[in-house]
Amino acid sequence: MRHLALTLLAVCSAAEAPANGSFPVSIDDARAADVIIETKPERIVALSNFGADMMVALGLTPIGITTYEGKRPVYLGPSLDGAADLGDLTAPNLEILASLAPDLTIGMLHYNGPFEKEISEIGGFLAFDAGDLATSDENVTQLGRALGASEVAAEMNAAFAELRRSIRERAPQDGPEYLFLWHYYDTFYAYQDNLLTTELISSMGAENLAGYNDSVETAEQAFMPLDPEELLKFDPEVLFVFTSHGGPVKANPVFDRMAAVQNGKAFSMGYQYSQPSGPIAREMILLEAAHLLYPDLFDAPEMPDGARARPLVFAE
Amino acid sequence: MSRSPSAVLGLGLVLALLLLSAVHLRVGAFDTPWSALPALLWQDDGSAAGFALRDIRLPRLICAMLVGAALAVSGLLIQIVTRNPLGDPGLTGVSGGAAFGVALAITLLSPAVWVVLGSGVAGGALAAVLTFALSHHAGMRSLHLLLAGIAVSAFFIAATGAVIIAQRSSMQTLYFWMIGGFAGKGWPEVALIGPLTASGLAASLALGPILAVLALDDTVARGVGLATGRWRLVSAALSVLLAAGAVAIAGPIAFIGFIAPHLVRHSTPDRAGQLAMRAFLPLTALTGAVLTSGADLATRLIPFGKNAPAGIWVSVFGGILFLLLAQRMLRGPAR
Repeated sequence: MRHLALTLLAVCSAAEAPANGSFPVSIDDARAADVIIETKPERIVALSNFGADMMVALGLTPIGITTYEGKRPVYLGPSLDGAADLGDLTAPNLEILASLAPDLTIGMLHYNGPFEKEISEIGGFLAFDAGDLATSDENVTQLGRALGASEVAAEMNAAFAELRRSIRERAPQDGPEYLFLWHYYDTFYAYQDNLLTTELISSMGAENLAGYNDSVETAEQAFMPLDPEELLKFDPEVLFVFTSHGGPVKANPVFDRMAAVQNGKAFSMGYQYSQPSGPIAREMILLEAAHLLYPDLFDAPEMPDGARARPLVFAE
Repeated sequence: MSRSPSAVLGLGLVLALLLLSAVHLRVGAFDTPWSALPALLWQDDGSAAGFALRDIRLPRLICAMLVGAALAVSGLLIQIVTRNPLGDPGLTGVSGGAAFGVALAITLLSPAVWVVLGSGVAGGALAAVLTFALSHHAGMRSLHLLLAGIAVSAFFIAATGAVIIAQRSSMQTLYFWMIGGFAGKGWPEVALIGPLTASGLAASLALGPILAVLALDDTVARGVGLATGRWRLVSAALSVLLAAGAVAIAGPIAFIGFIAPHLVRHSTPDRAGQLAMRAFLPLTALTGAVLTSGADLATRLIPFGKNAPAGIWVSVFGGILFLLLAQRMLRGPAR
């Protein structure tokens, strides 16, 4: 069974206590404004999964995290158990944040932008946004510098590039057609290749039927709305579904006719797929998707059971 | 030989409904030529296009029509019961109650169609019963019903909020339900709303003569020996039955129930007699069906935005019509 390379990297990092940075540093975050970090942060709150993911990968523990739809990021395992709960990612409890007295808060501009002023006054604030692979690499680089681990961050990006290359070499050139769906009850949205999750899956020879969207301003807008009939017309060989409410997908007669469902290739995916920018999430996605696409070529990765893909379940 | 305005309107509505239905069935991801429609509708040739026509487009269309007809007649009934031309099924708290029922089902029970719809209907009915109970001592007069409806709705909206906060994971699903619409509605929904609407419409037609008298002044109604309190309650219960199922399926678009009767009033002479009511009810039902199926067709043909729910046009068209009618009513005496 394939071990996550980053897990090993994180262990090494923790043992060595990454301190390969000098302060003050100037960080270029998603606000296109340089943020000066005067000293190495010690009390860090991660409002975003990316922040928590990066810290866990570096062997650090945030003092506070948020939840997404009421759930902690299961894919990061028990390493966050002691972190305070600041509530939902979209509306973190600023009073709890203030009581934690962080010297750095890592958030998402998309969700935490409206509270930027308040969060900055409580402690230093760095905002990153999700996007494509280049954005993820850049986020890892910038946050690595802010946490005094710029060399380890560079190693993470290099190791991930190497992992992608090795998987691409082993994977078939013409992999299966697939769709990655996110859904609001009866309405489906297909991830397009502008987004990191599908960018990674497509990099392994699989063809995303939702394609790449040239007309969007940011990767975060790259979702193709689909009605059930359009979904049936696409009829992908593999269907990945991020069940945002965590429960079974509402039964729809369309599913019964789809090749992916009939062939046992319809999967309910973990939360890491919706927030894939972190070094652990993106590696987990790459390894797990490789296994789901090509089970004969790639073993299932070692990962927390709660984060593992499951057969798609339908509520009748 | 000249036809009555009601007959002309009825014919126009039937033709509009047929035209909308044809376009509804023709348009979709699978190209379906006009000439192939009848064969694909009646014969299962095993093709994906035939499946899409019979199991996606057709039940969605029927669902939209049934919901529109149910809400329209429900609105007419509540306008008669309260003698309030601004009445709609939402007045009874049914929308707030149905939202609570749906929230409860999705968060605590199951997202299965029957569970969600059953819970929505039960929630809507419970809210309406509370509203009627609160306003009953005042003879269900318009003002008291309005106040009771506002209070009950506020309570159920707060309760829905509490359920969502307790189980945040269902917030997005509920958000989309609250916008309303018919995307993804299939035969299970038709199986629920069909009997409810058919029995509700049949009962309303049977009540036609009584409704015509109820629409008059109470003194006149009592003068002809009508137990106004009892029949008001029966009519209101019928209104709730029609609205609760429709709202549970399509979300809180109950204002269709306000618009449809007014469109009929503005298109035909308003006679409160028995014969007029017999025409008024089916015309109102047809108008509701045309409104909702037309708005749903628009959601399929006109993309509103990347992340807009499919039912947004139902709300947009309904809202515009609502404003136009309200403006017209404010300018002159209500017809």
